Amino acid sequence: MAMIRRMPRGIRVLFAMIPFYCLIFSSEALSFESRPWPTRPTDTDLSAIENWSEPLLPQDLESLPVLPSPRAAAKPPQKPIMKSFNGTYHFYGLAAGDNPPAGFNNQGVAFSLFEFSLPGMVSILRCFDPLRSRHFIAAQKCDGNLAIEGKVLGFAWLDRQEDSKPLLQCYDQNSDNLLTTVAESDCEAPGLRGTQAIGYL
Amino acid sequence: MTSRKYFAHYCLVFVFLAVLVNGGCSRGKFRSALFAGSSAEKMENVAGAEKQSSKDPLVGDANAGPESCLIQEPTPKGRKKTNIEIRYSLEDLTGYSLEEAAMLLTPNPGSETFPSAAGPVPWDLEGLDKQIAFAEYVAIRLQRDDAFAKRYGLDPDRFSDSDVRPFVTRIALMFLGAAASEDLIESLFGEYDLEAPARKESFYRGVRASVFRLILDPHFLYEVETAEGRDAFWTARRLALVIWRSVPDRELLLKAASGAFESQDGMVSEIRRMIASPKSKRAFQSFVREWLAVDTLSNSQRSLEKYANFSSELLKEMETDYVSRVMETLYKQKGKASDLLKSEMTNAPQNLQGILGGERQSMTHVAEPSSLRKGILAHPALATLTSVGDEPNAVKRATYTLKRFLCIDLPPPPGGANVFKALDLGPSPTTRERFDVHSTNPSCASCHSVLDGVGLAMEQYDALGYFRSKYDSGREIDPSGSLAAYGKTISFSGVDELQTQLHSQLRDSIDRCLTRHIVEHSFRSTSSDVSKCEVDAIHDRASKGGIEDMLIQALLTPGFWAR
Repeated sequence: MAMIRRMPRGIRVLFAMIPFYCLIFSSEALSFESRPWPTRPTDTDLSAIENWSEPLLPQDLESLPVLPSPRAAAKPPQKPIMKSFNGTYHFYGLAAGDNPPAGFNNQGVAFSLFEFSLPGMVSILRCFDPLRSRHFIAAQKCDGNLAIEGKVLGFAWLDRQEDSKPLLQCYDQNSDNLLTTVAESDCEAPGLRGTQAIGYL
Repeated sequence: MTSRKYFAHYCLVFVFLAVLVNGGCSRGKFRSALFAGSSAEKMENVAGAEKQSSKDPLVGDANAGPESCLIQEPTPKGRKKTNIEIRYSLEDLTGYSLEEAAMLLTPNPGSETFPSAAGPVPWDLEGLDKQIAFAEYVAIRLQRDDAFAKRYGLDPDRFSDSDVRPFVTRIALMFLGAAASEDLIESLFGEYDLEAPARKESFYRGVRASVFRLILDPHFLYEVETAEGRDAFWTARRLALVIWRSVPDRELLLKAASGAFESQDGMVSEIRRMIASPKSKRAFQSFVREWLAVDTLSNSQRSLEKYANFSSELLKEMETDYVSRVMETLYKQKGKASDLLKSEMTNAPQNLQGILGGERQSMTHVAEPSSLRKGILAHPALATLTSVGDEPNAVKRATYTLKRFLCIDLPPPPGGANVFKALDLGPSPTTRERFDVHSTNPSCASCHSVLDGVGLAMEQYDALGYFRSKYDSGREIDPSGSLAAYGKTISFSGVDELQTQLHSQLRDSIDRCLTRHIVEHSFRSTSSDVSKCEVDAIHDRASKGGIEDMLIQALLTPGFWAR
């Protein structure tokens, strides 16, 4: 207090005015936007990105990889489907616990189906036609409401995907056999016709 | 007496500190500080003062800056982003090309014509339907993509429950440019059922739900503007939309949060960083495509009887070559629009070489007088774009050239404009004979006196850009013409002379025209909304630099932030 009293009167007055100065300079009268662009800070919490390093994009943005298809992204496992033949008809079954009836000889792996289903997939079934005593493969439901034989063998895409192959089915007009294959050339043999894709693998 | 002394002290200290706090005795600033008027006036005065004090050579000390142009008060408004902005945003956020996925989006009426960004992009139910399909497409493809999850710091093969919240927060902040509310983040987090038996499958479902929700969020689909929403992150989002046509990256958001935009130097430094990114080149290339309307090139049809080499591959080569030549001159060499009139067509792709080399020689087609074709107006893409079927269209060629290179935008023709069809012009009239009709009709003459000369000069290129000296009828082509524009009249014969004359007499107008296009594009304004004053001021300040300086000047302009 003694020190303040020793100060010149003018300085004391200046000190006494400090609260008023604060009041004046915090008022709207003197505030103005210092830039034409908004700089007002917000209380948005950015801590989640502060400690994260954003992966760099390639210099050539035209070379970005294509957005992967669900199939490529999901990478569902596949299981082999075995093919047997009795001289007239084919029989398709799982490698284990799904043996062909008597008289069919194993011809090895025919194709592989997806083990589980994703959106956009269709179930692949084995059907039985009692009139002709033939077995055949179909998608979703067995044609003509014929009996579904055994379990669902697996799954295939309903529509074509990147890098997918069609699961083809063609009809042998001589034997009434329905051949299911992923090799287009199989359906080009003499006597085979009506090739159609029942799914995509 | 005492109260008088106090009042005198009060006034003295007030004036002294007012000057001190505002950083000097700049007259504009002081005036602003003491007599703050309308926002526009504030911007004018303050920005004028910044101009004086800035150390950046780009800003300079020109007397007439864009700040002195009359600008409007900022008004809250919104704008749906264009399809290209949505696509680029997602490409940057995912690291994947979405060219194929973007086909799902309805073509934006706003992106069909140039300038694409002008005005609000309409939002209709069909568009919404497509938008949802697009969001679903992207979300389904990303849900099981471990690379996407890892991009945002989470490994789906080994993650703890505490990793999920930062992951969700991160994608929300990045997708929405820091506009994600805590409530939104909480609702997204609720999609991840970490107690489910199949924890990883549950995480994938959460990713799908989050991505789908974020792509359909108004802050992702719209350039949202509200009076209270204008903060530093809004500035960052606007910068990203103009410079990258995309969303802000992490660095830009952190800069915004750290107050980097408080100083002009900080702002310029950030703009320069953004321009140096490949995303800026991609954005400028998409501007060039819109400016030159190259997307319509792929719709061109020609009869194979007349053009045996016509194919979609040829059109693709034309398109690529046309855009890359413009990019080379304007972006890589930092040249000006008028430099395009002089650029040489070397290293043309294989299919184009036949056209440029004049290999289609016949009774009507001869070798071109000049051994090497030069200039953007002689590019086969321009000739093809401005033809209808197998026939070149002189009016289309002239309107294209005048609008895009000289900013002369003529109104559409009045009804019944094809008056020459009713007149007897004899068999196989030449374009010049048909155009002569215009001079007899005052309502035609007002526009065609500007158009015809340029259109006639381009007649020597056929519908695929081959050089020809005669029409199919065997009649000689007279490519002479004249153009009166911007107070000057130039005369020429053929495209080569037209370009030479434009370069020597109207170079400045052509360069200013490109500035206008870039400013309109950046401001998201129509030509009637951007004043000549603003364009000229930005052009003059950036005249020593290229596109980069032009963009910086446009972004420092109060008018940009007021729109």
